[in-house]
Amino acid sequence: MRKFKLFFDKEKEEKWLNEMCRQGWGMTNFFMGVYTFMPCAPGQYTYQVDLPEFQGGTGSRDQRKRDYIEFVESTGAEYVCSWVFYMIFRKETCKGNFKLYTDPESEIRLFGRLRRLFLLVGLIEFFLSIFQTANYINYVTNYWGPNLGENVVMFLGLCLPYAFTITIIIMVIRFTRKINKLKLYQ
Amino acid sequence: MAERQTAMTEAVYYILLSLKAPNHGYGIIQNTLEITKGRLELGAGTLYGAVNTLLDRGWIRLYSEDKHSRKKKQYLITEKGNTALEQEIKRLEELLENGRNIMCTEAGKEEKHEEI
Repeated sequence: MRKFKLFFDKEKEEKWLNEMCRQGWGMTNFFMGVYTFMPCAPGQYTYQVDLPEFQGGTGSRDQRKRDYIEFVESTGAEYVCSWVFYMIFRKETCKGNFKLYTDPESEIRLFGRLRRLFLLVGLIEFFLSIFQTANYINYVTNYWGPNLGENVVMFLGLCLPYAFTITIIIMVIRFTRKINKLKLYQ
Repeated sequence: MAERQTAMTEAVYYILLSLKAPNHGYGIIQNTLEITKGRLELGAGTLYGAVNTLLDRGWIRLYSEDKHSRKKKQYLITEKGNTALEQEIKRLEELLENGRNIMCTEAGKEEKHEEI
């Protein structure tokens, strides 16, 4: 079974994956927002979405990625898939708890990495928004015509990058709040 | 300048303790679980980050690497790590002693207050 869904919040994503698993659908792959599910025993796995830290260590990024996967797998978990910087792991529920980050220090670092990634994407989106605004003004002044469909497409082309930028800013604020909250427990 | 001694995180403390003898990642998790009687289960991501930080600091070192086994990398505490651990234990002892001293006398005082 395939499902399309976009997540900005990895915790909500984990919740959803675990809920799907409870209903007997174990996630096995991800590509461009499309999740692939295979039948499994209800609640067979616990899922974790990770943005691993490849700091330190030697070798290429690929080598370190393999190292990390092997390390996590040695603790009884299973590597499911990766997507750009993200990785998804799962562990059979009967093998015990599954949480990749168990102390405030490492969680702060995790949310710091997430925040950096979102800031970068947000910046790109922001410039795209400005570019699209200029594009739109140009269209309205020179080509605005009776073709309603085209007008709508142009307008959506303007709104989407802004909506994206705003969502990302909200997430960056949320990550910052989370980090500040965690710092109290440090 | 000497490295300032700040409090270790629980993860770092138990990783160092688990590496008094050569051990691999999963072994560290198991050992920590055992000596804390199941209280502290280190997550793989937390452990991975902490082990890399400790390697960078020179508190632990790679002991052996088995290319064929899943649990391939074994680590061991270094001289520097040992010193840090000893300092931390001293710091914790002081913490505990001060706490106990003050809590005991406080308890005594409170009882007296109640008597009056």
